[in-house]
Amino acid sequence: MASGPGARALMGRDLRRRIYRFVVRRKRARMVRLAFAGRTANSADIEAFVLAHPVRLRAPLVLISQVQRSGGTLLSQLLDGHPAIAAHPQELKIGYPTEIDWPPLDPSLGPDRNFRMVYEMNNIMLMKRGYTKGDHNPDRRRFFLMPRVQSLLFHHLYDIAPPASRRDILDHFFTAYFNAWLNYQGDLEEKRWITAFWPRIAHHEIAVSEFFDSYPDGRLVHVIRDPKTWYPSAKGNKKSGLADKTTEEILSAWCTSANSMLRNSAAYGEKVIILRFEDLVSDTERTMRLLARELGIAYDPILSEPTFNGKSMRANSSFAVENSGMIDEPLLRENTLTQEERRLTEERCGELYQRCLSARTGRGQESKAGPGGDAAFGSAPQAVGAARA
Amino acid sequence: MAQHAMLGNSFPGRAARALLGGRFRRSVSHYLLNRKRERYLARMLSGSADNLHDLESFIVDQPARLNAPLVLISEVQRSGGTLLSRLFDGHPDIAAHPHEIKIGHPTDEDWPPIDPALGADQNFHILFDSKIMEMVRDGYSKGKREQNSARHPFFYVPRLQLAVFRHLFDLEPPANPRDILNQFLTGYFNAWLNYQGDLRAKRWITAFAPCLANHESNVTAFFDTYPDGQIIQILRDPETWYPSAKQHRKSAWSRRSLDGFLDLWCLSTEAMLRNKSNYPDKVIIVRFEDLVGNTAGTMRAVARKLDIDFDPILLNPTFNGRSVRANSSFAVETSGVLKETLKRQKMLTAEEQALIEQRCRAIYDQVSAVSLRPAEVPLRAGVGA
Repeated sequence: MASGPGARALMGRDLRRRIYRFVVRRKRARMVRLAFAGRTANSADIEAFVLAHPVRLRAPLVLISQVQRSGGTLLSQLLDGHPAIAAHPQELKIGYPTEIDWPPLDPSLGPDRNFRMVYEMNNIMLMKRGYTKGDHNPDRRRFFLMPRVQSLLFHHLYDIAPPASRRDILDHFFTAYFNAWLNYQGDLEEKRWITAFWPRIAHHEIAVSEFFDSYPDGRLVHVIRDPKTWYPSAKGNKKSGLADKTTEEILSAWCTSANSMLRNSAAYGEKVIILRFEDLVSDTERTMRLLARELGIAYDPILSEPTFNGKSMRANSSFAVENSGMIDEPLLRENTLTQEERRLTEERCGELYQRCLSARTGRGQESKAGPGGDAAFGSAPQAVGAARA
Repeated sequence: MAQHAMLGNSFPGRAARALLGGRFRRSVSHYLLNRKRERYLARMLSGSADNLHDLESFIVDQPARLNAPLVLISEVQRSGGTLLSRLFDGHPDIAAHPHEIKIGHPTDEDWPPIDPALGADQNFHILFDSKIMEMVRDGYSKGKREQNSARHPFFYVPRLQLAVFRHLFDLEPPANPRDILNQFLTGYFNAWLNYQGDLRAKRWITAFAPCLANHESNVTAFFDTYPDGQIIQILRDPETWYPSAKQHRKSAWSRRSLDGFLDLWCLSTEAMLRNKSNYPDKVIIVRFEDLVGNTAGTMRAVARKLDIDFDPILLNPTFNGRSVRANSSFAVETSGVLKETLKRQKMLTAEEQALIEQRCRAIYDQVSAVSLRPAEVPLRAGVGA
């Protein structure tokens, strides 16, 4: 406190100590007041730390994509808790100019325009209301993703490591996303894959081509659902956008998805993984073991439990759900079909469905399931009920 | 839908829709929505919308309640309190306070005189640790030797803690000091935004408060507040403790003589003996040498005492679930439990050794005799366990 040796010598040791303590206490009291008012230890400090210590995320993307109501959310949530996976927690909404376009990112556009293209506006409501899946779910989960931190970090990364490609921009985007997600549970340094669910984007050949241009090391995962159990779910879910359509239109949406799976599988071979919804629901462990093997990660029991940010999650069903974890009622939805709907479904989709299943079997995925693995992949749909572990 | 939102359902709105062509209407609607989106994005990215205030509303509305009893770790510094705290940190049943808990008032070594009649703000001021705030900007590191890269994020917002505490205090006025501490710690862990773990699953809160259990009145007050609580005290051999304490950079200790250091050690160790005698089932004494030399057996025995499942994470010192380096007075290169700490007596002079033997050996043996015996480790657990 005393400015020089002369001044210090003039004062007694006790007095010096007392003055020092008084000043320290006053300074601390001021800091406490500022902290309680939110003017220190606040978002500015959090931003400062995140910018100074970002954990870089350059892992390739596993894109889950097919027609809605086929288990994309379920698969996302099964992947959520794995320590080697950074799972994007809800539908990825980086499409631009519409949500079914792969974003035309370009390093020359600068950070601001690129960020605005891929920024997901739905994060706002998630942050305010918490995350919940399904209309019947009263349980709201914390989702503390601070938009400003995300934006600042994206700009910062753009400055310190100017991107040379779309992939670099996407790496910056995901790095910023997961670092700004303050309550994210998991260690980003351990991540080997990012997973995200983007319904219907893989219907579009150009979008798929652009995905693999950005992620030559990425994977495209399709979940195929038996149209006889899919149809009641699609029709019963208002948010699917299919509820008020005719049977013909609804089945047409399923066929578009199934055809795109065949096309993508033929075009990109091993990089496209097709899972059967019925296997995912009725034989979850074996299906997820096989997927883990495809992704080169160790199987962890958490892969068999749907979670959001590491915590158990209820399934996103169009029908009321009481418990968390896997539910196998979706497999029984076929019983709700009218005779006419059943006839039309078989007529329009039956053969296509078999071709999709054969495409998987033909790719040799079935054999990788190991001893007794035939129930998980490529088995006939009617065998599903019996395969429950 | 968008047009309805733009033009409303009033008569002028319906008239405007009827007058405009479909494509034109869609273009106008898109333009307006995009403009709104851009404006909103600008506000949000500037931090004037969707910021900590929104998180505060969410947390205050839905705090995860934490009413678990406290496991207080307390003994003289440089005895392994931080290590034990870090070993507890990752267990799913435990909410581990991340550093020394500073709820003492008026000094760190006094049990806080909290009282429901004092009101929310005064109780909060008594319990609040003002030294913690710098950690938000700088991150957590144990010991100043850590490089920047080893800093762990600690996103704790005092303002949020106060908001939750005030809210709970109003909602359910506390009837006793325990209620106040429950609300304070609920506020603390809810305001720790990047906390790893599920607060709803916690069965114990653990916290390290050096020297707090040295004083009989504090221990009485602790068990009055937490009749279901436990105190864990770590006994370290004075021959390895003294070199560590002497090396410690804490200014208050730097001018002490050997006798002064041994006074501190004896005070702590005598308190252990007294506490164990007064509360035999609620006080657990752990030998530092067991904790470091036989971590697996010791943590198994501790887990058994606390009636929680043994989890291998109990063998790995972590901060908020991530591995950390030891808090040693000496330079440390790796994370994990350091066995070198058991060899520090080699640094003693003959004179120091003689004085330690004379002043401390008898009481050390006495307390050692009532300490927790490490459990047997199943062979399947492996060499490192």
